Amino acid sequence: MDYQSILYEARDQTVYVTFNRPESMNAISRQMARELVEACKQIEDDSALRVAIFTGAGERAFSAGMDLKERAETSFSPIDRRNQKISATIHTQSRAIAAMTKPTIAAIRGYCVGGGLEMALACDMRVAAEDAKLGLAEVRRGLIPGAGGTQRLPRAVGVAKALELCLTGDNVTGSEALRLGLVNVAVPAAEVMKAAEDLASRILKGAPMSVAFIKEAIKKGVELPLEEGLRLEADLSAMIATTEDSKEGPRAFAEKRAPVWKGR
Amino acid sequence: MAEEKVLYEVKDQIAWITLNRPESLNAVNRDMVRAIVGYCKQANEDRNVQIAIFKANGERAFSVGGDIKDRVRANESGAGSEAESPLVIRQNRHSAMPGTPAPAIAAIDKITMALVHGYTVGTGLLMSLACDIRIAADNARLGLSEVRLGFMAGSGGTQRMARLVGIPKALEICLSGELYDPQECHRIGLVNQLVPYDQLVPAGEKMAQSFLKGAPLALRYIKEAIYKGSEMTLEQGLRFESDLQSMVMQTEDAKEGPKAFIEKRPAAWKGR
Repeated sequence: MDYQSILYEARDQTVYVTFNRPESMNAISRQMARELVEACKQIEDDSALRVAIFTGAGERAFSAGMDLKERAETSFSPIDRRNQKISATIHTQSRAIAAMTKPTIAAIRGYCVGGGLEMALACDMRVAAEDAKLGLAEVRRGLIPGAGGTQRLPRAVGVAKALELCLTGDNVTGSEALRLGLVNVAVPAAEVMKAAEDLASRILKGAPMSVAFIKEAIKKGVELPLEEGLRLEADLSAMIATTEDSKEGPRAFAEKRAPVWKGR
Repeated sequence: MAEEKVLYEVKDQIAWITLNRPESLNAVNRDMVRAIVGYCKQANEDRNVQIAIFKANGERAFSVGGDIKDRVRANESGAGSEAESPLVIRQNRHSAMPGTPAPAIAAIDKITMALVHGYTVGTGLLMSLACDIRIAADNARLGLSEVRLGFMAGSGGTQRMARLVGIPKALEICLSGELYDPQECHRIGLVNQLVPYDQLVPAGEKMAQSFLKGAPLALRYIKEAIYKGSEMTLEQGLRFESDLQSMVMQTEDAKEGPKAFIEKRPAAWKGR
């Protein structure tokens, strides 16, 4: 697909998806939303790709969130929108990112607010500039964070802090976000992409199916009672044991060499 | 052509999806799974469709299940075949075909109905379990025989059956692999209605017509309230129901309904 509002760049096993509307602080237009859904599908379908890094074009913003100018200008059916968000077919960018089986990393510089933060929250891990600004200010626009923010933020930072941030609409810096557990890593802005790539390259040392199953075990399991989560883990562990890579790993260890993964 | 083994027709707001492989008792092969999954998506996205009804051609069977020859072929082609790898299928990649059409049917937001007759076994029964409503003909024989093939009623078979008929009866049906007569199935709630075979399609149409007297969004919200609400505590479910009610009361149709009633005419639904 020919992307107009995002950049899609596959390099080796990593794909870089860049929100590319720097003139609008990478605000999420309807077109960008559609393209992101498509891009996520493309990433999942490409067996050569193993990690996705999402970032914003330019220095000023990861993404400022929903394009409010566009929103003010277009007619809007709340019911249609709700149906879109919950239908079995994925229509929204945050759901598309959250549904990916491959690991996702948000590389955040500048403003990461509203729908922008919601997209970052939909990623598995976040690397932020120390002076990045993260927040959910929908309350001040007569809206609510409707792309997962009210659900993913408390799960990341706890209810009290999530209430504080969502009700005030205040931003936190990347450093503060590190302290809160909202981001995994906070570094000077110039080092953000390198830090994201470091994280990706360490993940790429693991076997592909192991990476996918661990992601599933952790993300799904954490929502289950412990006993059910342990059962999920046991099932995934049994499935992994049927792969060739699960034999290659121990063999490579015994032979004191790097493993060669086949992804099956 | 694979599509001819499954027929799709939209008429008067109903999408009819018909299994059309009567020479093989409507055994569902991979091509048919693909076709059905496609039609489910099509019906779900078509604003002119409010109800999807599944039925099958040929007198002897709705479907005898998944095409076993397909499975033997897949087993013999070995674990290298990525398309068959349960690991890949399990990973829920949108491009991987599920083993049966059941998940795609369950994902339809509109009202779904299965009109079953004759042998309704394995994948055939799984497909109908994924529908909201089942109507059976008096010549139907329903069963989940996967256990006798060395595996399980997957694709929601064990889960939906247990929630539908209760654990003891679900255990009996899934463990025995036996065929059950339609009277028993009606008695235990596995099917909503039991009719003579020649009344099967008319009965489906009649029920569908009664649904179509309701506004499109109301139909979908009721479906959602009942399914999702049943998985919550009562208090959460009541709150959920109330939210959905608030949403539907905002629609034009919710104003058209009472107006039409007072003006003693049928409502003209707009679906918004």
